[in-house]
Amino acid sequence: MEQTAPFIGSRPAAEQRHWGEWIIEKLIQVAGLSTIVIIGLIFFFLLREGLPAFFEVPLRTLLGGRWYPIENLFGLWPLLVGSLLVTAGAILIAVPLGLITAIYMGEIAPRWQREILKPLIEMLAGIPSIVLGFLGWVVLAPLIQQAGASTGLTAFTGSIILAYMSLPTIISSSEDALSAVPTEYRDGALAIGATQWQTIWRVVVPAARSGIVIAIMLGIGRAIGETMAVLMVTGNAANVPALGLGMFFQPVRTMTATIAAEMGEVANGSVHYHTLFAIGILLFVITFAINSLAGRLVGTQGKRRRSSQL
Amino acid sequence: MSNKIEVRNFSFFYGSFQALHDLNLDIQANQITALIGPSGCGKSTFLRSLNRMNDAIPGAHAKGEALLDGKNIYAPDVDVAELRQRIGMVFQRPNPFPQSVYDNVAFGPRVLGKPKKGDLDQLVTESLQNAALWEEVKDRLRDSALELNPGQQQRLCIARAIAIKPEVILMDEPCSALDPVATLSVEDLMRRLAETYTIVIVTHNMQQAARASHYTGFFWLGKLVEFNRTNELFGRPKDPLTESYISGRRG
Repeated sequence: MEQTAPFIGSRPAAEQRHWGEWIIEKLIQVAGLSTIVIIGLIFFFLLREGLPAFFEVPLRTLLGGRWYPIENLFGLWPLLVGSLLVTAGAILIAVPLGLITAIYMGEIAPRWQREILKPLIEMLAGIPSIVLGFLGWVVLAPLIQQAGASTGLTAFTGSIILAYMSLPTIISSSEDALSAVPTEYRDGALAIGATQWQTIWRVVVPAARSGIVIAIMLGIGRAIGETMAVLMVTGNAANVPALGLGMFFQPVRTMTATIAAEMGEVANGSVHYHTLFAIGILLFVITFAINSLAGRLVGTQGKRRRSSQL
Repeated sequence: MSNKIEVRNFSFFYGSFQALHDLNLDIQANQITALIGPSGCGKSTFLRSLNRMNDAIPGAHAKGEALLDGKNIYAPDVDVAELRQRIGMVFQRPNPFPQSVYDNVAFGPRVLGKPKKGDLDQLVTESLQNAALWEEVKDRLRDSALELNPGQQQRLCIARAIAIKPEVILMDEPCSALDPVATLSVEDLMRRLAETYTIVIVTHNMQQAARASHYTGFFWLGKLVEFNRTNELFGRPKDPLTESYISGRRG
Protein backbone atom coordinates (compact mmCIF):
# COMPACT_ATOMS: atom_id res chain seq x y z
CA MET A 1 0.00 0.00 0.00
CA GLU A 2 1.63 3.20 -1.08
CA GLN A 3 -1.26 5.40 -0.17
CA THR A 4 -3.21 5.39 3.05
CA ALA A 5 -6.91 4.84 2.65
CA PRO A 6 -8.54 5.61 5.96
CA PHE A 7 -11.96 4.03 5.63
CA ILE A 8 -12.72 3.22 2.01
CA GLY A 9 -10.42 3.22 -0.97
CA SER A 10 -10.17 6.24 -3.18
CA ARG A 11 -13.14 6.52 -5.51
CA PRO A 12 -11.73 5.06 -8.75
CA ALA A 13 -10.28 2.06 -6.94
CA ALA A 14 -13.56 1.36 -5.21
CA GLU A 15 -15.41 1.57 -8.49
CA GLN A 16 -13.00 -0.81 -10.13
CA ARG A 17 -13.44 -3.25 -7.30
CA HIS A 18 -17.17 -2.96 -7.63
CA TRP A 19 -17.01 -3.84 -11.35
CA GLY A 20 -14.68 -6.71 -10.69
CA GLU A 21 -17.10 -8.09 -8.14
CA TRP A 22 -20.01 -7.70 -10.52
CA ILE A 23 -18.28 -9.56 -13.34
CA ILE A 24 -17.19 -12.45 -11.13
CA GLU A 25 -20.64 -12.69 -9.63
CA LYS A 26 -22.25 -12.85 -13.06
CA LEU A 27 -19.76 -15.39 -14.34
CA ILE A 28 -20.50 -17.68 -11.42
CA GLN A 29 -24.20 -17.17 -11.93
CA VAL A 30 -23.99 -18.05 -15.64
CA ALA A 31 -21.90 -21.12 -14.94
CA GLY A 32 -24.34 -22.31 -12.31
CA LEU A 33 -27.42 -21.63 -14.37
CA SER A 34 -25.99 -23.21 -17.51
CA THR A 35 -25.66 -26.53 -15.72
CA ILE A 36 -29.28 -26.39 -14.73
CA VAL A 37 -30.34 -25.36 -18.22
CA ILE A 38 -28.37 -28.16 -19.85
CA ILE A 39 -29.80 -30.75 -17.48
CA GLY A 40 -33.23 -29.38 -18.28
CA LEU A 41 -32.53 -29.66 -22.00
CA ILE A 42 -31.30 -33.23 -21.68
CA PHE A 43 -34.39 -34.17 -19.76
CA PHE A 44 -36.61 -32.42 -22.29
CA PHE A 45 -34.87 -34.12 -25.21
CA LEU A 46 -35.12 -37.51 -23.52
CA LEU A 47 -38.84 -37.02 -22.98
CA ARG A 48 -39.45 -35.71 -26.52
CA GLU A 49 -37.72 -38.65 -28.13
CA GLY A 50 -38.81 -41.32 -25.69
CA LEU A 51 -42.39 -40.55 -24.75
CA PRO A 52 -43.86 -41.29 -28.23
CA ALA A 53 -42.87 -44.93 -27.72
CA PHE A 54 -45.53 -45.24 -25.05
CA PHE A 55 -48.17 -44.25 -27.64
CA GLU A 56 -46.73 -46.11 -30.62
CA VAL A 57 -46.16 -49.42 -28.91
CA PRO A 58 -49.10 -51.07 -27.16
CA LEU A 59 -48.56 -51.20 -23.42
CA ARG A 60 -48.96 -54.97 -23.41
CA THR A 61 -46.07 -55.31 -25.83
CA LEU A 62 -43.90 -52.92 -23.81
CA LEU A 63 -44.50 -54.90 -20.64
CA GLY A 64 -44.07 -58.15 -22.51
CA GLY A 65 -41.16 -60.53 -22.47
CA ARG A 66 -40.10 -60.36 -26.07
CA TRP A 67 -37.61 -57.86 -27.47
CA TYR A 68 -37.55 -58.45 -31.23
CA PRO A 69 -37.37 -55.02 -32.87
CA ILE A 70 -37.50 -56.55 -36.36
CA GLU A 71 -40.91 -58.02 -35.62
CA ASN A 72 -41.99 -54.82 -33.89
CA LEU A 73 -41.91 -56.50 -30.51
CA PHE A 74 -40.51 -54.09 -27.94
CA GLY A 75 -40.88 -55.86 -24.59
CA LEU A 76 -38.77 -54.00 -22.03
CA TRP A 77 -39.11 -56.70 -19.40
CA PRO A 78 -36.09 -58.83 -20.42
CA LEU A 79 -33.87 -55.74 -20.55
CA LEU A 80 -35.06 -54.59 -17.14
CA VAL A 81 -34.52 -58.06 -15.72
CA GLY A 82 -31.09 -58.18 -17.36
CA SER A 83 -30.05 -54.90 -15.79
CA LEU A 84 -31.46 -55.84 -12.40
CA LEU A 85 -29.80 -59.26 -12.45
CA VAL A 86 -26.38 -57.91 -13.34
CA THR A 87 -26.68 -55.04 -10.87
CA ALA A 88 -28.03 -57.20 -8.06
CA GLY A 89 -25.21 -59.66 -8.60
CA ALA A 90 -22.70 -56.84 -8.58
CA ILE A 91 -24.13 -55.48 -5.32
CA LEU A 92 -24.09 -58.92 -3.70
CA ILE A 93 -20.40 -59.18 -4.51
CA ALA A 94 -19.27 -55.59 -4.10
CA VAL A 95 -21.02 -54.55 -0.88
CA PRO A 96 -19.64 -57.20 1.47
CA LEU A 97 -16.26 -57.18 -0.21
CA GLY A 98 -16.07 -53.39 -0.25
CA LEU A 99 -17.24 -52.99 3.32
CA ILE A 100 -14.84 -55.61 4.63
CA THR A 101 -11.96 -54.05 2.72
CA ALA A 102 -12.88 -50.62 4.08
CA ILE A 103 -13.03 -52.00 7.61
CA TYR A 104 -9.69 -53.69 7.15
CA MET A 105 -8.10 -50.53 5.80
CA GLY A 106 -9.64 -48.16 8.29
CA GLU A 107 -9.65 -50.19 11.48
CA ILE A 108 -7.28 -53.10 11.35
CA ALA A 109 -4.44 -52.63 8.89
CA PRO A 110 -1.25 -51.09 10.22
CA ARG A 111 -0.41 -47.66 8.91
CA TRP A 112 2.13 -48.76 6.29
CA GLN A 113 -0.33 -51.19 4.71
CA ARG A 114 -2.99 -48.52 4.58
CA GLU A 115 -0.59 -46.24 2.79
CA ILE A 116 -0.02 -48.86 0.11
CA LEU A 117 -3.64 -49.96 -0.19
CA LYS A 118 -5.27 -46.57 -0.48
CA PRO A 119 -3.49 -45.41 -3.67
CA LEU A 120 -3.84 -48.90 -5.16
CA ILE A 121 -7.58 -48.76 -4.75
CA GLU A 122 -7.71 -45.29 -6.18
CA MET A 123 -5.78 -46.65 -9.15
CA LEU A 124 -8.37 -49.38 -9.59
CA ALA A 125 -10.93 -46.58 -9.95
CA GLY A 126 -8.86 -45.14 -12.77
CA ILE A 127 -8.87 -48.24 -14.96
CA PRO A 128 -11.06 -47.50 -17.99
CA SER A 129 -14.17 -49.66 -17.92
CA ILE A 130 -13.46 -50.98 -21.40
CA VAL A 131 -10.22 -52.49 -20.13
CA LEU A 132 -12.10 -54.29 -17.39
CA GLY A 133 -14.60 -55.47 -19.99
CA PHE A 134 -11.75 -56.73 -22.14
CA LEU A 135 -10.30 -58.65 -19.20
CA GLY A 136 -13.73 -60.08 -18.50
CA TRP A 137 -14.01 -61.26 -22.08
CA VAL A 138 -10.53 -62.75 -22.35
CA VAL A 139 -9.91 -64.08 -18.84
CA LEU A 140 -13.09 -64.31 -16.82
CA ALA A 141 -15.54 -65.65 -19.42
CA PRO A 142 -13.45 -68.73 -20.30
CA LEU A 143 -13.06 -69.49 -16.58
CA ILE A 144 -16.80 -69.33 -16.03
CA GLN A 145 -17.43 -71.57 -19.02
CA GLN A 146 -14.90 -74.06 -17.70
CA ALA A 147 -16.72 -74.00 -14.39
CA GLY A 148 -19.74 -75.45 -16.13
CA ALA A 149 -21.88 -72.66 -17.57
CA SER A 150 -23.08 -73.15 -21.14
CA THR A 151 -21.32 -69.95 -22.11
CA GLY A 152 -18.89 -67.70 -20.30
CA LEU A 153 -20.81 -64.58 -21.27
CA THR A 154 -23.39 -64.46 -18.51
CA ALA A 155 -25.08 -62.11 -16.08
CA PHE A 156 -22.64 -63.34 -13.45
CA THR A 157 -19.64 -62.39 -15.57
CA GLY A 158 -21.09 -58.90 -15.90
CA SER A 159 -21.73 -58.80 -12.15
CA ILE A 160 -18.12 -59.54 -11.32
CA ILE A 161 -16.83 -56.90 -13.70
CA LEU A 162 -19.32 -54.35 -12.39
CA ALA A 163 -18.53 -55.27 -8.81
CA TYR A 164 -14.87 -54.52 -9.38
CA MET A 165 -15.80 -51.32 -11.11
CA SER A 166 -17.88 -50.10 -8.18
CA LEU A 167 -15.54 -51.42 -5.49
CA PRO A 168 -13.17 -48.41 -5.41
CA THR A 169 -16.13 -46.07 -4.91
CA ILE A 170 -17.61 -48.21 -2.17
CA ILE A 171 -14.28 -48.79 -0.43
CA SER A 172 -12.98 -45.26 -0.39
CA SER A 173 -16.29 -43.64 0.57
CA SER A 174 -16.95 -46.21 3.30
CA GLU A 175 -13.44 -45.82 4.59
CA ASP A 176 -13.93 -42.07 4.82
CA ALA A 177 -17.16 -42.67 6.73
CA LEU A 178 -15.44 -45.07 9.13
CA SER A 179 -12.53 -42.79 9.80
CA ALA A 180 -14.95 -39.94 10.56
CA VAL A 181 -16.28 -41.93 13.54
CA PRO A 182 -14.88 -40.30 16.69
CA THR A 183 -12.19 -42.27 18.56
CA GLU A 184 -14.22 -41.76 21.74
CA TYR A 185 -16.76 -44.33 20.52
CA ARG A 186 -14.05 -46.91 20.01
CA ASP A 187 -12.53 -46.15 23.42
CA GLY A 188 -15.95 -46.39 25.01
CA ALA A 189 -16.59 -49.84 23.58
CA LEU A 190 -13.08 -51.15 24.29
CA ALA A 191 -13.27 -49.89 27.87
CA ILE A 192 -16.35 -52.03 28.47
CA GLY A 193 -14.39 -55.07 27.44
CA ALA A 194 -15.61 -55.38 23.87
CA THR A 195 -13.16 -57.08 21.55
CA GLN A 196 -11.86 -55.18 18.55
CA TRP A 197 -14.28 -56.96 16.25
CA GLN A 198 -17.26 -56.29 18.55
CA THR A 199 -16.22 -52.65 18.70
CA ILE A 200 -16.09 -52.40 14.93
CA TRP A 201 -19.28 -54.28 14.25
CA ARG A 202 -21.49 -52.96 17.02
CA VAL A 203 -20.29 -49.38 17.37
CA VAL A 204 -18.11 -48.10 14.54
CA VAL A 205 -20.02 -49.48 11.57
CA PRO A 206 -23.46 -48.44 12.90
CA ALA A 207 -22.08 -44.97 13.65
CA ALA A 208 -20.83 -44.70 10.08
CA ARG A 209 -24.04 -46.12 8.63
CA SER A 210 -25.18 -43.05 6.75
CA GLY A 211 -21.82 -42.64 5.04
CA ILE A 212 -21.74 -46.32 4.17
CA VAL A 213 -25.23 -46.10 2.67
CA ILE A 214 -24.07 -43.23 0.46
CA ALA A 215 -21.01 -45.25 -0.54
CA ILE A 216 -23.16 -48.20 -1.55
CA MET A 217 -25.61 -46.01 -3.45
CA LEU A 218 -22.77 -44.35 -5.32
CA GLY A 219 -21.46 -47.79 -6.16
CA ILE A 220 -24.86 -48.96 -7.38
CA GLY A 221 -25.24 -45.80 -9.40
CA ARG A 222 -22.01 -46.54 -11.15
CA ALA A 223 -22.97 -50.18 -11.72
CA ILE A 224 -26.43 -49.62 -13.17
CA GLY A 225 -25.30 -46.95 -15.60
CA GLU A 226 -22.26 -48.82 -16.87
CA THR A 227 -22.52 -49.86 -20.51
CA MET A 228 -19.52 -50.96 -22.48
CA ALA A 229 -17.97 -53.52 -20.18
CA VAL A 230 -21.38 -55.07 -19.62
CA LEU A 231 -22.08 -55.10 -23.34
CA MET A 232 -18.91 -57.09 -23.84
CA VAL A 233 -19.36 -59.79 -21.23
CA THR A 234 -23.04 -60.49 -20.66
CA GLY A 235 -23.78 -62.23 -23.94
CA ASN A 236 -26.50 -59.82 -25.04
CA ALA A 237 -29.38 -62.24 -25.30
CA ALA A 238 -32.58 -60.39 -24.59
CA ASN A 239 -34.42 -63.17 -22.86
CA VAL A 240 -35.90 -63.58 -19.42
CA PRO A 241 -34.00 -66.34 -17.66
CA ALA A 242 -35.97 -68.86 -15.62
CA LEU A 243 -36.18 -68.03 -11.95
CA GLY A 244 -33.53 -69.61 -9.74
CA LEU A 245 -29.84 -69.43 -9.02
CA GLY A 246 -29.15 -70.57 -12.57
CA MET A 247 -30.41 -67.30 -13.95
CA PHE A 248 -27.11 -65.65 -13.04
CA PHE A 249 -25.34 -68.06 -15.35
CA GLN A 250 -27.26 -67.30 -18.50
CA PRO A 251 -26.64 -64.59 -21.05
CA VAL A 252 -28.70 -61.47 -20.52
CA ARG A 253 -28.93 -58.06 -22.08
CA THR A 254 -29.04 -54.90 -20.04
CA MET A 255 -30.88 -51.68 -20.82
CA THR A 256 -27.70 -49.71 -21.32
CA ALA A 257 -26.18 -52.35 -23.59
CA THR A 258 -29.35 -52.39 -25.71
CA ILE A 259 -29.18 -48.67 -26.33
CA ALA A 260 -25.48 -48.79 -27.11
CA ALA A 261 -25.76 -51.77 -29.43
CA GLU A 262 -28.83 -50.73 -31.38
CA MET A 263 -28.76 -46.96 -31.54
CA GLY A 264 -26.37 -47.01 -34.48
CA GLU A 265 -28.68 -48.95 -36.73
CA VAL A 266 -32.13 -47.49 -36.13
CA ALA A 267 -33.85 -45.04 -38.42
CA ASN A 268 -34.17 -41.62 -36.84
CA GLY A 269 -37.74 -41.14 -35.64
CA SER A 270 -38.81 -44.77 -36.00
CA VAL A 271 -40.69 -46.69 -33.35
CA HIS A 272 -37.53 -48.59 -32.49
CA TYR A 273 -35.68 -45.28 -32.07
CA HIS A 274 -38.34 -43.92 -29.76
CA THR A 275 -38.32 -47.09 -27.74
CA LEU A 276 -34.59 -46.87 -27.18
CA PHE A 277 -35.13 -43.42 -25.74
CA ALA A 278 -37.94 -44.78 -23.62
CA ILE A 279 -35.37 -47.15 -22.15
CA GLY A 280 -33.28 -44.06 -21.43
CA ILE A 281 -36.22 -42.56 -19.53
CA LEU A 282 -36.59 -45.77 -17.55
CA LEU A 283 -32.90 -45.71 -16.63
CA PHE A 284 -33.19 -42.08 -15.65
CA VAL A 285 -36.15 -42.84 -13.39
CA ILE A 286 -34.34 -45.74 -11.73
CA THR A 287 -31.19 -43.75 -11.07
CA PHE A 288 -33.25 -40.83 -9.81
CA ALA A 289 -35.14 -43.15 -7.46
CA ILE A 290 -31.91 -44.61 -6.09
CA ASN A 291 -30.44 -41.18 -5.54
CA SER A 292 -33.46 -39.76 -3.79
CA LEU A 293 -33.75 -42.87 -1.65
CA ALA A 294 -30.13 -42.43 -0.63
CA GLY A 295 -30.76 -38.74 -0.03
CA ARG A 296 -33.72 -39.55 2.20
CA LEU A 297 -31.89 -42.22 4.17
CA VAL A 298 -28.99 -39.90 4.76
CA GLY A 299 -31.20 -36.89 5.39
CA THR A 300 -33.06 -38.41 8.33
CA GLN A 301 -29.78 -39.57 9.85
CA GLY A 302 -28.17 -36.19 9.47
CA LYS A 303 -31.13 -34.43 10.97
CA ARG A 304 -31.10 -36.62 14.01
CA ARG A 305 -27.41 -35.99 14.56
CA ARG A 306 -27.72 -32.24 14.16
CA SER A 307 -30.58 -31.93 16.59
CA SER A 308 -28.52 -33.74 19.20
CA GLN A 309 -25.58 -31.40 19.05
CA LEU A 310 -26.91 -28.68 21.25
CA MET B 1 -9.65 -52.36 54.31
CA SER B 2 -8.10 -54.43 51.60
CA ASN B 3 -5.94 -53.54 48.66
CA LYS B 4 -7.77 -53.87 45.37
CA ILE B 5 -4.86 -52.79 43.25
CA GLU B 6 -1.23 -52.86 44.32
CA VAL B 7 1.22 -50.94 42.20
CA ARG B 8 4.85 -52.00 42.59
CA ASN B 9 7.81 -50.24 40.95
CA PHE B 10 5.57 -49.42 38.02
CA SER B 11 7.00 -47.45 35.09
CA PHE B 12 5.41 -46.67 31.78
CA PHE B 13 7.01 -45.72 28.47
CA TYR B 14 5.83 -44.25 25.21
CA GLY B 15 8.63 -45.52 22.99
CA SER B 16 11.79 -44.18 24.61
CA PHE B 17 9.95 -41.52 26.59
CA GLN B 18 9.36 -42.50 30.19
CA ALA B 19 5.98 -41.16 31.26
CA LEU B 20 5.82 -42.80 34.71
CA HIS B 21 8.70 -43.37 37.10
CA ASP B 22 8.71 -46.23 39.54
CA LEU B 23 5.30 -45.80 41.14
CA ASN B 24 4.30 -47.55 44.34
CA LEU B 25 0.83 -47.26 45.78
CA ASP B 26 -2.11 -49.30 47.03
CA ILE B 27 -5.61 -48.62 45.87
CA GLN B 28 -8.10 -49.62 48.54
CA ALA B 29 -11.24 -51.55 47.76
CA ASN B 30 -14.50 -49.60 48.00
CA GLN B 31 -12.74 -46.29 48.36
CA ILE B 32 -12.43 -43.34 46.06
CA THR B 33 -8.84 -42.63 45.13
CA ALA B 34 -8.17 -39.29 43.45
CA LEU B 35 -5.13 -38.54 41.34
CA ILE B 36 -4.18 -34.90 41.05
CA GLY B 37 -1.36 -32.98 39.43
CA PRO B 38 -0.69 -30.56 36.60
CA SER B 39 -1.36 -31.43 32.94
CA GLY B 40 1.15 -33.87 31.54
CA CYS B 41 2.20 -35.17 34.95
CA GLY B 42 1.26 -38.74 34.02
CA LYS B 43 -1.91 -39.15 36.06
CA SER B 44 -4.03 -39.94 33.00
CA THR B 45 -1.36 -42.25 31.63
CA PHE B 46 -1.37 -44.08 34.94
CA LEU B 47 -5.16 -44.35 34.94
CA ARG B 48 -5.27 -45.62 31.38
CA SER B 49 -2.50 -48.10 32.05
CA LEU B 50 -4.63 -49.76 34.75
CA ASN B 51 -7.08 -51.11 32.17
CA ARG B 52 -4.49 -51.15 29.41
CA MET B 53 -6.19 -48.54 27.25
CA ASN B 54 -2.69 -47.43 26.28
CA ASP B 55 -1.99 -50.76 24.59
CA ALA B 56 -3.12 -49.46 21.21
CA ILE B 57 -0.48 -46.73 21.18
CA PRO B 58 2.53 -47.98 19.20
CA GLY B 59 5.63 -48.31 21.35
CA ALA B 60 3.79 -48.08 24.67
CA HIS B 61 4.99 -50.53 27.29
CA ALA B 62 5.08 -51.00 31.03
CA LYS B 63 7.70 -52.14 33.55
CA GLY B 64 7.10 -53.31 37.08
CA GLU B 65 3.80 -54.61 38.35
CA ALA B 66 0.24 -53.51 38.78
CA LEU B 67 -1.60 -56.23 40.66
CA LEU B 68 -5.37 -56.55 40.56
CA ASP B 69 -6.30 -58.85 43.45
CA GLY B 70 -2.72 -60.05 43.40
CA LYS B 71 -2.59 -60.81 39.68
CA ASN B 72 -0.42 -58.66 37.41
CA ILE B 73 -2.47 -56.71 34.90
CA TYR B 74 0.43 -56.92 32.46
CA ALA B 75 1.00 -60.66 32.78
CA PRO B 76 1.21 -62.26 29.32
CA ASP B 77 -1.77 -64.55 29.92
CA VAL B 78 -4.16 -61.69 30.75
CA ASP B 79 -7.08 -61.32 28.34
CA VAL B 80 -7.36 -57.57 27.84
CA ALA B 81 -11.09 -57.63 27.07
CA GLU B 82 -11.70 -59.63 30.25
CA LEU B 83 -9.52 -57.27 32.26
CA ARG B 84 -11.56 -54.30 31.04
CA GLN B 85 -14.74 -56.04 32.07
CA ARG B 86 -13.35 -56.02 35.60
CA ILE B 87 -11.89 -52.52 35.37
CA GLY B 88 -14.32 -50.21 33.62
CA MET B 89 -13.68 -46.67 32.53
CA VAL B 90 -15.51 -43.37 32.21
CA PHE B 91 -13.95 -40.75 30.00
CA GLN B 92 -13.35 -37.03 30.11
CA ARG B 93 -15.88 -36.20 27.42
CA PRO B 94 -19.16 -38.08 27.72
CA ASN B 95 -19.02 -40.61 24.90
CA PRO B 96 -22.36 -42.38 24.61
CA PHE B 97 -22.72 -44.35 21.39
CA PRO B 98 -25.03 -42.83 18.77
CA GLN B 99 -27.68 -45.36 19.71
CA SER B 100 -30.69 -45.37 22.01
CA VAL B 101 -30.34 -44.85 25.76
CA TYR B 102 -31.36 -48.48 26.26
CA ASP B 103 -28.90 -49.86 23.73
CA ASN B 104 -26.07 -47.88 25.31
CA VAL B 105 -26.61 -49.50 28.68
CA ALA B 106 -27.33 -52.89 27.15
CA PHE B 107 -24.12 -52.75 25.10
CA GLY B 108 -21.86 -54.37 27.69
CA PRO B 109 -24.21 -57.21 28.65
CA ARG B 110 -24.82 -57.95 24.98
CA VAL B 111 -21.10 -58.03 24.25
CA LEU B 112 -20.58 -60.47 27.10
CA GLY B 113 -23.21 -62.89 25.96
CA LYS B 114 -26.81 -63.20 24.95
CA PRO B 115 -28.87 -62.06 27.93
CA LYS B 116 -32.58 -62.88 27.99
CA LYS B 117 -34.83 -59.96 27.17
CA GLY B 118 -36.39 -59.81 30.63
CA ASP B 119 -33.05 -60.01 32.41
CA LEU B 120 -31.62 -57.37 30.15
CA ASP B 121 -34.54 -55.02 30.81
CA GLN B 122 -34.00 -55.40 34.51
CA LEU B 123 -30.24 -54.93 34.23
CA VAL B 124 -30.71 -51.75 32.21
CA THR B 125 -33.23 -50.41 34.72
CA GLU B 126 -30.96 -51.23 37.67
CA SER B 127 -27.91 -49.71 36.05
CA LEU B 128 -29.76 -46.52 35.23
CA GLN B 129 -31.13 -46.36 38.77
CA ASN B 130 -27.68 -46.87 40.23
CA ALA B 131 -26.34 -44.15 37.97
CA ALA B 132 -29.08 -41.81 39.27
CA LEU B 133 -30.44 -41.36 35.78
CA TRP B 134 -33.52 -43.58 35.75
CA GLU B 135 -36.06 -40.94 36.73
CA GLU B 136 -34.87 -38.63 33.96
CA VAL B 137 -34.81 -41.14 31.14
CA LYS B 138 -37.35 -43.83 31.98
CA ASP B 139 -39.69 -42.46 29.31
CA ARG B 140 -36.91 -41.86 26.81
CA LEU B 141 -35.21 -45.25 26.67
CA ARG B 142 -35.74 -45.47 22.91
CA ASP B 143 -34.49 -41.94 22.21
CA SER B 144 -31.00 -41.36 20.94
CA ALA B 145 -28.50 -40.99 23.77
CA LEU B 146 -27.11 -37.97 21.94
CA GLU B 147 -30.28 -36.07 22.78
CA LEU B 148 -29.49 -36.09 26.50
CA ASN B 149 -27.66 -33.15 28.05
CA PRO B 150 -23.95 -33.55 28.84
CA GLY B 151 -24.52 -34.29 32.53
CA GLN B 152 -27.06 -36.96 31.68
CA GLN B 153 -24.75 -38.35 28.99
CA GLN B 154 -21.96 -38.73 31.53
CA ARG B 155 -24.23 -40.52 33.96
CA LEU B 156 -25.35 -42.70 31.06
CA CYS B 157 -21.72 -43.59 30.45
CA ILE B 158 -21.45 -44.52 34.10
CA ALA B 159 -24.59 -46.64 33.80
CA ARG B 160 -23.05 -48.27 30.72
CA ALA B 161 -19.88 -49.01 32.67
CA ILE B 162 -21.65 -50.51 35.70
CA ALA B 163 -24.08 -52.59 33.64
CA ILE B 164 -21.44 -55.32 33.39
CA LYS B 165 -20.73 -55.13 37.12
CA PRO B 166 -17.04 -54.30 37.05
CA GLU B 167 -14.96 -54.28 40.23
CA VAL B 168 -13.09 -51.07 39.61
CA ILE B 169 -14.23 -47.94 37.79
CA LEU B 170 -11.61 -45.57 36.41
CA MET B 171 -12.76 -42.03 35.78
CA ASP B 172 -10.67 -39.73 33.66
CA GLU B 173 -11.68 -36.18 34.59
CA PRO B 174 -15.33 -37.18 34.36
CA CYS B 175 -16.62 -33.73 35.26
CA SER B 176 -14.38 -31.47 33.22
CA ALA B 177 -16.99 -31.11 30.47
CA LEU B 178 -19.85 -30.59 32.91
CA ASP B 179 -21.35 -27.56 34.60
CA PRO B 180 -21.18 -27.21 38.42
CA VAL B 181 -24.62 -28.68 39.04
CA ALA B 182 -23.96 -31.73 36.89
CA THR B 183 -20.54 -32.03 38.53
CA LEU B 184 -22.06 -32.22 41.99
CA SER B 185 -24.55 -34.85 40.91
CA VAL B 186 -21.76 -36.98 39.45
CA GLU B 187 -19.75 -36.60 42.69
CA ASP B 188 -22.79 -37.64 44.70
CA LEU B 189 -23.11 -40.61 42.48
CA MET B 190 -19.44 -41.52 42.94
CA ARG B 191 -19.84 -41.61 46.69
CA ARG B 192 -22.76 -43.99 46.38
CA LEU B 193 -20.99 -46.16 43.83
CA ALA B 194 -18.00 -46.51 46.16
CA GLU B 195 -20.15 -48.75 48.36
CA THR B 196 -20.05 -51.33 45.60
CA TYR B 197 -17.07 -50.43 43.47
CA THR B 198 -13.50 -49.29 43.82
CA ILE B 199 -13.15 -45.91 42.16
CA VAL B 200 -10.06 -44.19 40.83
CA ILE B 201 -10.58 -40.69 39.53
CA VAL B 202 -8.24 -38.33 37.76
CA THR B 203 -9.13 -34.71 38.29
CA HIS B 204 -7.79 -31.27 37.62
CA ASN B 205 -10.04 -29.88 40.22
CA MET B 206 -8.47 -29.97 43.68
CA GLN B 207 -11.69 -29.05 45.44
CA GLN B 208 -13.22 -32.08 43.81
CA ALA B 209 -10.44 -34.33 45.06
CA ALA B 210 -10.75 -32.86 48.54
CA ARG B 211 -14.55 -33.11 48.53
CA ALA B 212 -15.11 -36.47 46.98
CA SER B 213 -12.19 -38.79 47.63
CA HIS B 214 -10.84 -40.90 50.48
CA TYR B 215 -7.28 -41.13 49.20
CA THR B 216 -5.32 -38.74 47.05
CA GLY B 217 -2.15 -39.16 45.05
CA PHE B 218 -0.21 -36.16 43.82
CA PHE B 219 1.69 -36.63 40.56
CA TRP B 220 4.50 -34.42 39.36
CA LEU B 221 6.52 -35.03 36.19
CA GLY B 222 5.66 -38.70 36.05
CA LYS B 223 6.45 -39.35 39.70
CA LEU B 224 4.11 -39.97 42.57
CA VAL B 225 5.20 -37.28 44.98
CA GLU B 226 2.81 -38.05 47.78
CA PHE B 227 0.02 -40.49 48.45
CA ASN B 228 -2.11 -40.40 51.56
CA ARG B 229 -5.60 -40.17 52.99
CA THR B 230 -7.21 -37.17 51.40
CA ASN B 231 -7.67 -35.18 54.60
CA GLU B 232 -4.04 -35.84 55.53
CA LEU B 233 -2.71 -34.86 52.14
CA PHE B 234 -4.69 -31.66 51.98
CA GLY B 235 -4.45 -30.90 55.69
CA ARG B 236 -0.83 -31.77 56.40
CA PRO B 237 1.06 -32.32 53.18
CA LYS B 238 4.44 -33.86 53.88
CA ASP B 239 6.20 -32.82 50.70
CA PRO B 240 6.82 -29.11 50.06
CA LEU B 241 5.96 -29.67 46.38
CA THR B 242 2.53 -31.00 47.34
CA GLU B 243 2.01 -28.13 49.65
CA SER B 244 2.82 -25.50 47.08
CA TYR B 245 0.65 -27.24 44.44
CA ILE B 246 -2.45 -27.63 46.56
CA SER B 247 -2.16 -24.12 47.86
CA GLY B 248 -2.09 -22.92 44.27
CA ARG B 249 1.45 -21.59 44.15
CA ARG B 250 2.55 -24.06 41.53
CA GLY B 251 0.99 -25.95 38.63
